Amino acid sequence: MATNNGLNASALRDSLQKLATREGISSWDLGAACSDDCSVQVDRGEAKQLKASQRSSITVRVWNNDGLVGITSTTDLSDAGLEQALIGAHEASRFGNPDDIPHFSPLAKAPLPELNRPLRATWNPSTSRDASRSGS
Amino acid sequence: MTDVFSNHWKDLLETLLNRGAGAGADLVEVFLERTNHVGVLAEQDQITSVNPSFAKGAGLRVFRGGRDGFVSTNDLTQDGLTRALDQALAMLGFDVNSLSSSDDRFNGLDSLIDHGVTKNDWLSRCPTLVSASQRLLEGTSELERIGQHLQVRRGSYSRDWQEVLVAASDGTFARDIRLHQSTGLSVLAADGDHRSSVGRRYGSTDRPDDLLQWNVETSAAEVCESAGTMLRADYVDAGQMPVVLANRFGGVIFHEACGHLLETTQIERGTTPFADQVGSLIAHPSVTAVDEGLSGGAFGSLSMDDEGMEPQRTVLIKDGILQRFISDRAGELRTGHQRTGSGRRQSHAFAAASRMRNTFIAAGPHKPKDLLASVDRGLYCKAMGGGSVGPTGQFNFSVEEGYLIENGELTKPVKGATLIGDAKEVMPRISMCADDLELAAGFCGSVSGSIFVTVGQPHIKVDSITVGGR
Repeated sequence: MATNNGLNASALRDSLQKLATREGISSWDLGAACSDDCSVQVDRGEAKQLKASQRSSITVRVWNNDGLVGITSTTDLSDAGLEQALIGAHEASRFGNPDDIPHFSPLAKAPLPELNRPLRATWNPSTSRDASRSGS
Repeated sequence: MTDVFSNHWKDLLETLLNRGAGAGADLVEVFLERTNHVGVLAEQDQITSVNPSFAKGAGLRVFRGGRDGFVSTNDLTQDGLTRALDQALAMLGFDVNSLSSSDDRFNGLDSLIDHGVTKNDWLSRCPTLVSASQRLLEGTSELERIGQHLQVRRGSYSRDWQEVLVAASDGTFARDIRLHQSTGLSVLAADGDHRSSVGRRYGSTDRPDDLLQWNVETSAAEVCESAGTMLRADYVDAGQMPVVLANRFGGVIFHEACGHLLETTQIERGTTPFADQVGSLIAHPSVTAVDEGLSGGAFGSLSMDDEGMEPQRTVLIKDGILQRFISDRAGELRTGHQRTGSGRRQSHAFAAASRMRNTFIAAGPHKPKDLLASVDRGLYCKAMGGGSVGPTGQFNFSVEEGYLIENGELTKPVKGATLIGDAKEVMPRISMCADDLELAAGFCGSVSGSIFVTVGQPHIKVDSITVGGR
């Protein structure tokens, strides 16, 4: 489910859907994240320890037949790990708070807006002034 | 690859270690981990939170001289582990494209030492979510039954199960299963303008049925008695005075203020004043201090450390004289202090470091009443709260439950006290140790993350310490 270039969202969704159908779970959603970090520990001017991490994780929410929600998270994205997470969330839903039942985010099924935002915008005094004017 | 860590991993691990050694690394280590955690919170008479979480991953560490490269990953496929290893090798300047197949730095893994072989059913023997929740609700119900003026009643439970497999190019190949459970009760009492907030936490390792054995009535009574006593306590007057610290969690001060300074990571950083003091008197002759991983059921006990080494009983200070430091693989490499089975980490995402296990001041010859009788006017600290410690041992700790000592007797309860000091100055002032050593479970956060430990001591007397007050 995790690849060298990040998460395979479609594969995650398909696997969880298959498991949910088998377990009789009709409502569920997942949030997924992956990160690639590196750092260096410098001690008195010398690089002592260099560290890096590649981390992938998901959070699964399950709504049971009474509408109560259970949540779990895992970094084990194997088939066995996904099954464990889904069943764990289902078990936890038994203790869900009936006074606080979250629903799917309205954005969950909304079409994705076109994202055209450069990661590093070049700061320019004149455009900055224009932007503040148009925003006011 | 199989989901269970076993001998089936040997071929893959040997391939990885051979690759690292062939690239020229002095030592390569692979740490594999699976975890299964659940936390449950009860507030008043309801379960308000149930949080299961799971993890699987690996940490790969490569040494070159005094430096090391560490990479963690959740991808336990051969490709994923190889990619992580190559990244760690590249960090240290090794060229993975010029591997030497004739390198003799790695001669294969030893036979698997499986400390977990008798522990495979532990997870299935732990309480279910339903039974854990019932026990917590029994706890909050008992608080309601016997407590007075309680505004908030909480019970919490956490269970951490971990399976690890360690392999290193020196031949180390070992597996273990760990189980830590902790249970806590806390209350907030209020009456008019008076307030008190008290909590107690209990923890064990390697005991699947621990929650079912938990004595709810005793724990609730302890919390309610303390909250009731402290509700109308006066604020303490600040000053320099003798202090008697109770046993069990009173040991947190030794752990924080002195224990950390006896880890080889502190020598590496140049932050311990005791670096060159082995064989020297650094504490009062009445003080003997130990760090070990062997006490049955204690939160800091382990069958092997996170580098595959079996733990030892390490005497840190004997009769006031510094004996040795606690050390891990990197500590031995960088400082020359031999490993003590103290290489520990929160998870695969952290490189192991020298960390404490069960750390305590040993019992002495006195009775607790002898310590109190020796004080004309001072402070008795029955329960400690939170605190902070500077990098070289300066500390301040709040006193959750305190009493004045007047003419050798406990008189009235006081609140708002803070103990302020410096390890190097306070250690020579611990002049009396009682014979009632007890351990208490806790968590320790440091360079390799948050780990399970115990702190402990008998009742001890500190001749003089700064007590901060209102």
